[in-house]
Amino acid sequence: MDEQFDRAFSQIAAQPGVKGVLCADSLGLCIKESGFAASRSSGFVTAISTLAQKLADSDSIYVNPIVTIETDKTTVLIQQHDGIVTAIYKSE
Amino acid sequence: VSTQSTGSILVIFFCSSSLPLLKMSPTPISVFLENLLRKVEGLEAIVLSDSGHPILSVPAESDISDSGTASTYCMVSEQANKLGLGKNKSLVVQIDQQIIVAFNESPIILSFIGTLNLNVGLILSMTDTLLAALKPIQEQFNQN
Repeated sequence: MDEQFDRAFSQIAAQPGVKGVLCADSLGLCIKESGFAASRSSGFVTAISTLAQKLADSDSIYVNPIVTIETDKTTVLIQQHDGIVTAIYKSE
Repeated sequence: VSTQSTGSILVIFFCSSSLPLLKMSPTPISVFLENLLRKVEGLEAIVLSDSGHPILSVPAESDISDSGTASTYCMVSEQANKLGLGKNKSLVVQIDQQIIVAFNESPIILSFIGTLNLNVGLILSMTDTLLAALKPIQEQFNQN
């Protein structure tokens, strides 16, 4: 049932420069993690994407902004789509 | 219903050993819980209970209750500890239109009550910090 999801997840995780991938649901619970990404970050990732939605357009629930967090060593890309929040950890 | 069985930098001063549910000047723990209330999406109330009896509630004037979860959780926790998976730390339960996340330092229960949009993962990520904060309160109650 989740073969398609697993395949897509693995493809992203195998991309060059990708250190980790995390998928969380709207309750902030981890669906799948790999590599650098830790399941305990699920709540934070969901919170960031929810706040970004409010920041981007407080009147619409259909806005799905991509949040980019850059540090010295890692870039994290976060986006919510259809209730699933995906975070991709990339190396600089 | 899901249970989670499995230490910290947070130090809490608890001012009184027997606190009825009343309006009082802010204590460090109520300030800490009020800050959490503002930061977590979907969170409506936080209740600190002793053996199921609420002793502290934020916001103070709130009539939102945990629907008796705290008192039942004490019994659930005793049974959960017998599953052979270690000491029960927390409980997540959905009742009607509420989600309740409860942390167990028996007999002290800290319940987070929220809507169906509650960010459960964010609260669970604080498990170890919250349990460490409840420890001194539990010891205070066990002494009395």
